[in-house]
Amino acid sequence: MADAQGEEFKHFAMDLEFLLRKTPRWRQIAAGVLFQEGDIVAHGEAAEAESGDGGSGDEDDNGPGDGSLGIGSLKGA
Amino acid sequence: MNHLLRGHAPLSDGNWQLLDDEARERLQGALAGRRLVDFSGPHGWEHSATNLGRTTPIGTAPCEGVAAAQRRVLPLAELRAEFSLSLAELRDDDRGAPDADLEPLDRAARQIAIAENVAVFHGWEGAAIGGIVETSPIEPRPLGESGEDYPRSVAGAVEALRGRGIDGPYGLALGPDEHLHAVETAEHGGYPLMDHLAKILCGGPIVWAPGVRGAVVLSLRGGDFLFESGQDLSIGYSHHDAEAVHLYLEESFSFVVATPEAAAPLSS
Repeated sequence: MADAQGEEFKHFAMDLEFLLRKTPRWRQIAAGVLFQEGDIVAHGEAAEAESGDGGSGDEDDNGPGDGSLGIGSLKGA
Repeated sequence: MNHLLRGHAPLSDGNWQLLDDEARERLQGALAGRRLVDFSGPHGWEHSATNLGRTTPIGTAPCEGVAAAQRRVLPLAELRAEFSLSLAELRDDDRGAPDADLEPLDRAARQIAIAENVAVFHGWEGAAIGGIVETSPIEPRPLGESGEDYPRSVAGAVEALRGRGIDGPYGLALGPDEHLHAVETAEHGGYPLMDHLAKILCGGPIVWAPGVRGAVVLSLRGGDFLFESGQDLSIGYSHHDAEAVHLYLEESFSFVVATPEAAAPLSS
């Protein structure tokens, strides 16, 4: 059971990395939260404010956005 | 608002959506290097250098009895392609016009894509970037005069890689002229050349690569070629007047060839 749990955690990490590569604004917020010492909630609010995001992660709702075209890797595209 | 200053541009949200979508579409088709090499990032505009993991000895230490060395890094390079768009055209876009003239954006996108491809495949001395073709120790062999010569040349390149212990899958980057020849050619019996090449590459991609001279076969196994992105391609605002808004496409990146022998160039 512990082995299966570890396997699912690995899949979760892979899913998360895929989503962050596809959505630069989410990546920016995540960078302000993950692997940081201190208050998790405070880091989350600060990272969200710094990204200029209202929380949806969707540039359509946020005017000019952060400017990245979000192209990233095209390997396998 | 970040350094791109997009919030200062006299553009509606719809205009920005139009420009971002147009740029993304134009760039994705032309960024050949990103289809074939490892990509790291984006690490942000503040990211300034790639860790090379190496040091240079420093002859003199602050005091006796200690050795000194300095870390070596590869500074990221910046590319910027400026363009101007008619404000009247963008107001027409706001009214629902489906045919806004975005030709200047398209040209800028093509130029910055070519610049990135040239840096990745042929190198960029001014930025201390070695290209895939130039750093390969494998002697370039001719691709051939006509498309019908390509299978033999590409198969030879794949064998050259296998002979050096470089595993697949393999990808093929073709310059624009060479890609056109490949697409237009049907071999004896009508078999499409592109399908034949894909079989030789074990199903790997065949990529249209504007800016590439000739062609190159390279391994896609990973770990051989690393593109590190600081700020990924973005549109920023420069200034505007009564007639036009002046914008730019910009990115920062470095590129490192870790295994030069993982690519076999083919000359045109």
